[in-house]
Amino acid sequence: MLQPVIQKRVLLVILAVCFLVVTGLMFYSSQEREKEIWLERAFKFVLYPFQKIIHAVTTFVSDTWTTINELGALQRENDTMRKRLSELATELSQLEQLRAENERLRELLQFKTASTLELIPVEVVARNPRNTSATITIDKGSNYGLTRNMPVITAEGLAGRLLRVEPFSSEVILLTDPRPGNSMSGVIERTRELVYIYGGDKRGTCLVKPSDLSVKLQTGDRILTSESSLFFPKNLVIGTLVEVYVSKDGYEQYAYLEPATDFSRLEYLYVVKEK
Amino acid sequence: MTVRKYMLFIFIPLVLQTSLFPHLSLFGVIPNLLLITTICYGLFEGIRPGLIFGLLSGLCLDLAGSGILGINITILGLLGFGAGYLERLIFKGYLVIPLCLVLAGTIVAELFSYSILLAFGWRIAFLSFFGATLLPLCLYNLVLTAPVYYGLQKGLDLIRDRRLKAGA
Repeated sequence: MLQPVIQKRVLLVILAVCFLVVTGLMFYSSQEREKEIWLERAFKFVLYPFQKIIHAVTTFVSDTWTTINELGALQRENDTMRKRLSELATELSQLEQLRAENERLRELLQFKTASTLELIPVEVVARNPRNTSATITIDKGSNYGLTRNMPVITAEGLAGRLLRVEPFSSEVILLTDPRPGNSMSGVIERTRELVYIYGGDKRGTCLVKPSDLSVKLQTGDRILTSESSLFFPKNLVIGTLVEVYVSKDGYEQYAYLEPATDFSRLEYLYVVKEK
Repeated sequence: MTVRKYMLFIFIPLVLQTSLFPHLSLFGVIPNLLLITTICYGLFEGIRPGLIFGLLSGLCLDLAGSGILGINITILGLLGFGAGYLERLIFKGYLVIPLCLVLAGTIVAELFSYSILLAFGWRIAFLSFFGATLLPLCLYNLVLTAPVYYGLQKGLDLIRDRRLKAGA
């Protein structure tokens, strides 16, 4: 007689415990964590080789397909390139002479080397399976001396920073990821005024807010990394403002930034390491 | 055998979802293969296997993507349970049933995920989420439902045959 009632209560208690555990887990994992729990790390460690194999096969197939499709165009391009190469070889020898001269003069003036940054080329292996997150997995980790929060760039500009580093792979959080904490400071190239950049809001863009009321945002403004940035070297291109909104009273102002890097076609990146 | 079956039907879609489909994205969106597989699996196997499959695939999806843990365990567990519940009630021969369920499941899962992310302070504008994520995702998931449904059916039949042969 009492058994169904007891069973119902046991079921309710189990459901309540599950609810509490899941809610606790959500609270725990909602903020940016320095380290993942062991289960996440172990699971990703097992998953990674399979992702790498599938990635290699996919890249090989798509590269072969592209090559076959573009064979005729490549032949023409090759001829043009050969001509250009001979011209450039002459220019290069002149530039070599200038470089040697430049170095001699630098030594005379006791100048330091301009750049102290080292670029480590990395390849994208996998993407976050959730469409609401913008993180990617790359093929190098602490075995190449990578550490957390190192900047990641492409030829076009800034892409993001290292969120987590494993022995043989790392996870990059892209500029557009909407999680809290994914923000940075930047400067407007035109005026060198400070702005704050937050990932997300509109898919594929970043939200930009001025540092104070005197700063005026304009469509087409290029935004660069600022000197006060915690993780990024200064003057890297972040992107361009595409939409600017100003409230009627002028007290509220924000803009959307289109990143210089095309995140939908990411294949090769560079991790920036201080020498 | 059951554990191997779960691993096979969860691991393969997960690897494809993270490494193959980013190359085949539709309007920048990658399909949720595990959601489709969970719903189809629940429809074929019933409540209990559907629930277990949903919980496991949700756990794997949560572990594979860095973000808030627990969203996918909850939603895929519920979807597996719901699809399993419908197993006895509906005729599974028509493809339109899994299509409708995948469409409804995608909308429910994405809206649930969106509201949890919003509650934890993630910055996602609703209109952008609706137009740039939810709509293309529904379309992509619908396109992939038929191959996943028939592939899973064939896979489960093969396993059943092998088990019968081993028993005989």
